[in-house]
Amino acid sequence: MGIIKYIGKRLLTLIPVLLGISIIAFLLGTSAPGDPVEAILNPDGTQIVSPEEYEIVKERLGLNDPVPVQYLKWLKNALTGEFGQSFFTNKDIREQMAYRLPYTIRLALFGMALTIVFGVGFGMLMAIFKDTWIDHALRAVTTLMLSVPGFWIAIIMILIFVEQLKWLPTSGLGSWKSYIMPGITVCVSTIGVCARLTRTSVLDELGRQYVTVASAKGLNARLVTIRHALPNALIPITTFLGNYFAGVLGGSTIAEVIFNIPGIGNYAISAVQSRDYYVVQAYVLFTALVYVVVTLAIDLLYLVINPKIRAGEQVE
Amino acid sequence: MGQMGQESGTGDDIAVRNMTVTFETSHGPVSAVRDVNTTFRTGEVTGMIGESGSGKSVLGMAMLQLLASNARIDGVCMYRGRNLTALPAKEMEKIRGKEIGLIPQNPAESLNPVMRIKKQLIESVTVHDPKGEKRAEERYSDLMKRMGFSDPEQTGSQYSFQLSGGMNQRVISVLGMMNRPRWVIADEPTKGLDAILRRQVYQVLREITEQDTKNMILITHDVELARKLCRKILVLYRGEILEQGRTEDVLGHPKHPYTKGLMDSLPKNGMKPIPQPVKEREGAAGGCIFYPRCPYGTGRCGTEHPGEFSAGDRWRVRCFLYESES
Repeated sequence: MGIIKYIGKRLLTLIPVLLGISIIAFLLGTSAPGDPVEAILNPDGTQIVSPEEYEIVKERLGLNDPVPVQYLKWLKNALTGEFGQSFFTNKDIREQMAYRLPYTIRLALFGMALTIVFGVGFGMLMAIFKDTWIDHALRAVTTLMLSVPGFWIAIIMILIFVEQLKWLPTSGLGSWKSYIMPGITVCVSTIGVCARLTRTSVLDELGRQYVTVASAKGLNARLVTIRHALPNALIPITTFLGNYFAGVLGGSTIAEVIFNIPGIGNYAISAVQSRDYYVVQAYVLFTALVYVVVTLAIDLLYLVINPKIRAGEQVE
Repeated sequence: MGQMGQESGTGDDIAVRNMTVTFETSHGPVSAVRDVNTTFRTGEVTGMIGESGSGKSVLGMAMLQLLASNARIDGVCMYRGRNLTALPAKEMEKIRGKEIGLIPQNPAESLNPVMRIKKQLIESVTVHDPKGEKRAEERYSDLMKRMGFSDPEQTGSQYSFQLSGGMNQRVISVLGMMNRPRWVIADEPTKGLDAILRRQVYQVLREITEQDTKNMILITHDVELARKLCRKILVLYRGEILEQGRTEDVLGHPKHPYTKGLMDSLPKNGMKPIPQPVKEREGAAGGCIFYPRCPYGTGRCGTEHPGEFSAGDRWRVRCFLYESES
């Protein structure tokens, strides 16, 4: 009962968010500089366009309709995944997205896996070995990780592993090896943040009364941390990881550009550069959708890890 | 000081000698327990009474080595030939829950909010005996029924936040008794409870002493609960034991000015408050800890620290008034 209400509530809150974003994405296309009719009839600026021709194309594109009507038509198409064609390449946007998405998903999953293993892992180690040399060393490492930009790491890695050691390919996606450097680039600073968040929330839980009681039962420090403190600490960590995952799924532009991966982020960057507004519209809508879906998935995950939500309790 | 009437620890007694607990804080070291000497005898319930901050819970947790990492414990706590304050972590884990069980304070916060009740209770047994699942199940269902849960499985499948305060209190009483410990420490079991629940707790503890173990240490500020359950009473004030002895002596004919004040402040005795500290007497180092509030204080009390003087069989008072008697 409580669960259905909870899910229903989550779904309802998504509707205004998605509508709002779709309006923003649409206005981005219509208010942008440049004339789509001109772009179709006279892409290279060498033709002379007659007013009659201009009017026909304008009518066909629906640009004579009032803006709200245009929006509704656009929304109807967008809902069926129909975003039209790129001004620039004349390629179908939906097909392009479908082609590029797997690259981005693979990269995002790899980055996510690294973040869970090393971010949560480092954080746990720091909490268990609080104030020992392990904690100090890892704190220094994670501070460094969260303060260096991803592109710098990428360039350093290229210098070492490609130029000097010749272990890894620079670009393209031939084998699993080619995911290593982009994967590290997308998650290095997130690992730093995640490790520190894990450390803080585990230590926070370790200071609670139920942990003392678990020790009073005779559990050793390791069991107390893993069995009792960690499941409670996972609640804030899950939120953080979900936001990160939604971010990289929307395309990790820097890594995709540096390592020449034909993913969503790369597509968006070239569209922005060539003022390909239909593509930008589709991209904005796509990332918003990804964000909303991942957020929903996280909310559902809470049902598993937080019994208070399952029981329909009010959670602060 | 305090040699006379000193009870030596025998058998399963817990003997505390010269125990001092100091917390390192950002404002410097703070002593929560000072030079405590007492013996918790088997076969009887010992009550530790005192106001909040008197150090009674700290003393109990120190015996289990369950204090925060900034706590330093000096002195010894002898149990079955071993000093618990110096026991390595691995050995201490075998004592906790198995030799000495804890019925913790703040029931709702004492239970893990994301783990089902039953799992948390069964764990008390299986952590010491990984193959003891079956024994744990039997013990669980027996204890839960005795504590008034008619359907242990149903209650056990819930989480602490789904149970009432009184139910959680009974659950943590089960938790402390799950592995049939030789000793049990009950920490503030009636804190924040209304009269009906206080009576329920009294019955639960009474039942434990009758059916499970008579060796109990009751930490409480509830003088009436202590009077009903305990054979011996320790009166703590700001980390020191000011008076200890048989319940009928200490609570019936209190000798220390603080114990007298405490008894007079009870509702049935007219709720006469203990005097506020006298300004001029405060801050004097080395004197009696109760001197600033003591109606009988003399100049000597401000400069000299009283030892524990015998006031009868098993009865000791930390006050110069009883120096001559010993």
